[in-house]
Parts: sequence; C-alpha cells; structure tokens
Amino acid sequence: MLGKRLEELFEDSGKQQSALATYLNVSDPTVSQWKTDKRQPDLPTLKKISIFFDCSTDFLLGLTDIKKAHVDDAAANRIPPDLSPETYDIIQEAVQYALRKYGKTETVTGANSDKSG
Amino acid sequence: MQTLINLAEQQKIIIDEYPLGEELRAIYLKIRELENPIIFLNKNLSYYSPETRCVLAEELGHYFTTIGNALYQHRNYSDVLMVNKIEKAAIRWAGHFLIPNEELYQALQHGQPSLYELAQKFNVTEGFAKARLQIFKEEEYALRHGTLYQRLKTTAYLAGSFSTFKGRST
Repeated sequence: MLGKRLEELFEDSGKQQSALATYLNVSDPTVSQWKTDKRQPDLPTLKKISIFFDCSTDFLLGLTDIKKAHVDDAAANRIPPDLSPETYDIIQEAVQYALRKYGKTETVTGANSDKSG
Repeated sequence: MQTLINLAEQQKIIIDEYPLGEELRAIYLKIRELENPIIFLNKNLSYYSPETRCVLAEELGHYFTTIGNALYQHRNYSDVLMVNKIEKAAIRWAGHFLIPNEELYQALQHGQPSLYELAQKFNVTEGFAKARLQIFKEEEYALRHGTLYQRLKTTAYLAGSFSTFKGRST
C-alpha cells in the first residue's frame, strides 16, 4: 500500500525521488524499495515522509483516501465521540465557510479523492 | 468580554459567528490552509451573556494550551481520555483567566459561597463556577498531598507561566 501511495504522491507533487532521499538522508535505492513495497520505512521516517508530502500518515498507510485533513487540530479533531453526525457535518461546513471567507482564493488541496486505496 | 476580545485580537485569532446547531456553543479551528486560528461562536449566543464570556474564554484556552498539532494527529484512534485532557487544559486556562486564584481565595475567605453567588460575582455561568471550584480543589490537593512532581508542576502553573502570561496580556 505504501508503495502505491508513494508513487501517487511523487506523481501528483512532481517531487523527485532523490529529493525525498536527500530529505530523509537515505539512499535512492531505499526509496525505490519502499515504492515497490520490498522494504518499509520506520515510524520516525514515515512521519517525515508525511511532512515532506504534506499528507497524513493515514493516507500513506492507506487507511484513508483523504490526503490530508483540512483541520489540523482543535475543535474538529476533538469532537467527542458522542456528538451527532449532524454536528460533525456542521463542523465540516464551518471549516469550508472559514476557508471561503478567510482563505486565499486558491483551491483547497486535500479534498476527498475518488480513487480507492 | 472586551479583555477577551482584545486578547484574541492581539494573538491574531479571528472571532466570528456561525450557526453551529444545538450541540455546540463554539468551536476553535486551526486550519492548515489558514494562518490565523478561528473561533466560531454559535449564532444563538447573545453577545454579552456570561455564557458567551465563558465559552469564549474556553476556546481561547484551546489556543493557549494546545502545543502544536502533534496531539491531534491520531484522531482516528480517537482517544477519549486525550480529548478530555485537552478540554480540561482549556477549561483550566479559562478558569484562571476569568477567575484568578487570588480573587477566588478572597471570595472563599468567609466560607464557601453558593455557586449562584460565585457566578454573579465573576460574571460567569454556574457551571463554569463549579468547574472552577473543582480545578481549585484539585490544585490545592496536588499542592498539599501530591507527589513532588505534582507539587512542582502545580506551583509552576500557578506562579510562573500563567501569571507572567497574564502580566503581558493586561
């Protein structure tokens, strides 16, 4: 799964494999092996990969198709489990509203993708 | 209220309103795409009520007690305890902000006032006053009977970081 994601991310971002290797201080072939799922990075490295591509580790692991959550912290992520789905929707709408009102005009990245993992 | 708003402005926090439905009074949002954090107050809150004061203080508490985003990265493995811990930190901050320890000590000097009296005195809700008393009791307990670490931590919280912060803000 990680391999597939990495390929996707390299393609989408236009970033070079060597750039990631340099960033992580690993060799180019190591990255290649991750891409073919022959080897796997350790957890700290995984974290750095997610920073490098600005995506969530969940996305890297194939647990979600959402590249990155819009809301990094606080409210939406501290939704108590007992809140209703309606409230959850309201929060998502509020986030979109905030982005429209206070964001720059550029389109928002990290929206739901249709591709299945 | 004005102090809270000034503080938010000073920290470049956007305060706005949004219809948040029945369950939420406010939310604190830090959206990666946006530089400034946003606090949305529910539209149905009236601007100058004690409730709004408490809610706003609590949301500001999130700003001042949230360290980076690291805490939230694991939201898929949603940890209720962690959520509670985060909430509690925010409420503690808000409690100290709206009802400073010295003033609470004074209020408690002649026996414990009722929640209603406390709420009136500090212009907060009774629920908030109750939470504040709980925080106070926990801190007192930690200071008297806690482990060395707890004692140091509580002392530092009460004496150090919080008051210096307040000094800057007022």
